[in-house]
Amino acid sequence: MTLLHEPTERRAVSATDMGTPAVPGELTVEVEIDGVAVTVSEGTSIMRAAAEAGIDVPKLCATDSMKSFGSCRVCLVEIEGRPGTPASCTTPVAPGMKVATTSPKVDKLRQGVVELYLSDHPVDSCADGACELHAMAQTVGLTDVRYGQEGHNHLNIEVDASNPYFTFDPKACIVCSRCVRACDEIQGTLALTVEGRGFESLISASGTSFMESECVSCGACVQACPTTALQEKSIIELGMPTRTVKTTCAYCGVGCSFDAEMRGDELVRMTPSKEGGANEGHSCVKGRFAWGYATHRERITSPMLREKITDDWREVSWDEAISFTANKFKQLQEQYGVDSIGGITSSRCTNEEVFVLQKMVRAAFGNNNVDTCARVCHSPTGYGLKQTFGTSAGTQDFKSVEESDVILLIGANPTDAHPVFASRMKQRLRAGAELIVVDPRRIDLVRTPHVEASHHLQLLPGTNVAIVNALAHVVVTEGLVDREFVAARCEDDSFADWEAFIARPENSPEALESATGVPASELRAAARLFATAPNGAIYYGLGVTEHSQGSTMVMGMANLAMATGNIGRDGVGVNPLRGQNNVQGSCDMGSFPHEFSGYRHVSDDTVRVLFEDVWGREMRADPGLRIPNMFDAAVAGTFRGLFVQGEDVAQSDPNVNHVTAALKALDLLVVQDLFINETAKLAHVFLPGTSFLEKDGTFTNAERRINRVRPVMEPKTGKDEWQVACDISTAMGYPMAYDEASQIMDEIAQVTPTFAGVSFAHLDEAGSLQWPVNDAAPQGTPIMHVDGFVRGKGHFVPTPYVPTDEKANRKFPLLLTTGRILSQYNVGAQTRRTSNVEWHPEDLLEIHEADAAERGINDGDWVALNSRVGETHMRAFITDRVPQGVVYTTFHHPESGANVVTTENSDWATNCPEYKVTAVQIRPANAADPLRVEVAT
Amino acid sequence: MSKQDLVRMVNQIAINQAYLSDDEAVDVVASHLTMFWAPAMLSDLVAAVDAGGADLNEVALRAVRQLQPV
Repeated sequence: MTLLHEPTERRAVSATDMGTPAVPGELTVEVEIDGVAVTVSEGTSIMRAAAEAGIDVPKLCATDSMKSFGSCRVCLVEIEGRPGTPASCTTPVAPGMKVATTSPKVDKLRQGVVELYLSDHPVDSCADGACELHAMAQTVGLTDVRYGQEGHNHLNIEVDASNPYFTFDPKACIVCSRCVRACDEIQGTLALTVEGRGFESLISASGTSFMESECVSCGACVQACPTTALQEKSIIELGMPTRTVKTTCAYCGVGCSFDAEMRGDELVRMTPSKEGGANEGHSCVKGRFAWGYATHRERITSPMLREKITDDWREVSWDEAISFTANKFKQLQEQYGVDSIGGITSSRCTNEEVFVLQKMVRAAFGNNNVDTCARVCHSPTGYGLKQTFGTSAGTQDFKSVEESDVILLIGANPTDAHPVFASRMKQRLRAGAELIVVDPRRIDLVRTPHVEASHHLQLLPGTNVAIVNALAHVVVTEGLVDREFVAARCEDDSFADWEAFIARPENSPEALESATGVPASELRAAARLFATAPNGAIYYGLGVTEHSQGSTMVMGMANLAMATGNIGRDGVGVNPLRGQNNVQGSCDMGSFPHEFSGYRHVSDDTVRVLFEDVWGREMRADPGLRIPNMFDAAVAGTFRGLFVQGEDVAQSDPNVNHVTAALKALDLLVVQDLFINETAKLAHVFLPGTSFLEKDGTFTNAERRINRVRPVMEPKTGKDEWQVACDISTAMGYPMAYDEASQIMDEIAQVTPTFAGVSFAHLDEAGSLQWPVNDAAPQGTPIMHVDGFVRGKGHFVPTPYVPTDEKANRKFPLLLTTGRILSQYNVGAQTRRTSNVEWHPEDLLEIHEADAAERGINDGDWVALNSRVGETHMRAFITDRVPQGVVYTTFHHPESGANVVTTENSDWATNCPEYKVTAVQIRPANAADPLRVEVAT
Repeated sequence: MSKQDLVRMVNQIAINQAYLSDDEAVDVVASHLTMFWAPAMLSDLVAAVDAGGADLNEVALRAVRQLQPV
């Protein structure tokens, strides 16, 4: 019977699959497999021991990313002195064990098992060679199948094609449970199950279609599937890949490593890399599937110009675009002064692209008017951690969370914004760690399958500092300070000052209860839990930084970590979850107007001389304008020209009406991007950018991990992005040239001590490196401040709680806070141009039932959302995720324009906008009402 | 740059140093402005103060006075 195909390709997952996970441990066992002696750690499966001896035991249900399961019965072996043929995946090695992975008996059994699988398996399911079952038939020497498909079978079950990215074809399913286990053990969502018993067993997305289920489309099940039952639609449409390029995801700050799988010059699949230090083989719906934007029909690949923003765009050559841009910038400087122009770097661009752009500003523009979009997200992290620890970065690697006993999660929603790290965190929580969530909104991690927070401190927006002060107050006043750590590692004087400050009655949970809305008893319990944990770790997001006291809060968390001795080892630390893929890198690269690369102030003579020597230009010693300052100066008429690299400030920055007015006031706005975004609609020059699939360079993720970004195709624009900055700089009179991106990294290493040991060659060899990388740490630094802080002794900073000026009042009685959703990314320029819009076609306003009822608003109604600076419209979503008095929305769609209503308020130290607190009012509205109404102030 | 924005920002910086003595706070605010504000902003702020009517709190006002002349 012809039920066999000869496979042409095996799925990438099988290529280096050891069958079962590694077992850590120092005790070893020596065994003999097929006559080959091998020593492995105690508890290792026979299957893995065989793999380590170079012997591939046939398997179907086993894979090394999940616990052994023992379902398929293909991996049977014989063990000398033991009866039967046990499964090698579930049988651990024992001292002196002698194993035969092949024998006439075993071979016959395997053939029989595989033959039975094939008898209920569609013959055409592996036409493209994607099915491990057919490959296994070849491996076990099966040449014929004796059973036809006429009997009782599953071959008439319909395909579930509801998910935009993959199909589920139950006909091809062998119910090995790899998908169910992947959803459980890797992703932690538990959306899949096996329904029915015996022959009736079927994989089910909890009784509904994949699209309607709890599935988060991470793709772990698809990757795990050994047949074509779960398969990417791109593979079905385009065929199996023929080559692979290792690169790094361009979405969030987790920075997942991927194998970009190509068929010719076409990307057909992104498979998360098991070797990736950040993700270790996992991914989310964005990284694995949402890459179609790179070739979207709306992508612009040619430069364009126009004299006025009311003119039509005119496609021009690169030479004309660069000449126009350079001449106009020079003209503006001649007319309005050297400080009248500046640039904004992008956290979506590579380190090399960012470094060159800030160099263009400092050397060719001759000023320090360069800032980065990190201004509006994590600039308080830079300020706060530098003040307290001495460097502007998180302290841990992601893997560290596996050693945490209590996790304090503040103002972050990892399951939506950092999903791959969230999966890692959930694994640890399911293994017994406890969780404290500090958030006005009930995020998924408060209660999700097999995870429940011990405490949810549901504070009022804007009261973070009050919360962290109250937590620290309990630590200090209840004798929970780690005195030994503080004495050894921190400054005596600053600790004494802080201790006296924090012990004041006004910082007690009881005194702050009315401000925060958090019951004092709950807060005290949370403080005790964190302070007494062997390893307490703090993870935080933009719910910390995007406040009027964002920097104060970062310092408050650093104080708490130091006071409880939670710094300098695995399982602890202060960990910012960065929003965009290269927020850390763009900050590292000298994008802030007051700092050169490596966070060294421009007023430092020694540092300035270093740059002047290397760059051959005098450097300014005074800080330049920050992004909001640029906008204010543009409105005032003193700032006339701006280069925007890969950002959409007209959608992402607060008080959009003000931003728009500023951009319209410019004589020259140059935008480098993939698409005509909201900002580009106001530009005079559009310079087409490159997608991550075309870039050659590096991204640095939230754990300081420098990952290589490798091009899988030539730039569709005909020019690398860094080359464009070099050309403009050269045309302005400051020659700048590199033959390739690696030379830019070499220059970064030359002038940046924390990158001193970084090169493309070193990265290619090591896979990735976590800075600092230097003579003291040539292979990088996964955990920082191990023996001492970067600044020497840890510095405590008192953190008085100063309530924000943005308060609910009679006119605006609700507080709006904003955030992200899993399927979309920031302003949505990328994800809105993929099938991810099927999950989130529009931004919704989450509102509590009582607030909705009071205003006559029903679920799904259009509402007008207005603040003192603007008004916009969106649909209401009634939910108890938000407490009464608080509303929430996302900012992924320009049509809803959430930032039309956010205000000019910002962090006192860094001007990071106070996105998370806006006093608003809501009323029923018609969809047809005009959007984005500017409110006169 | 608008006087209103500059005054709001410098007052905010000063208020966040409330844990210090006034003299210490003045030094911290002045240092912060020098380290993080562009010269044009400092000039505008000083000019606003010189012109009178800038609603600065006491610490902020003393810090701005320390900056002169920019």
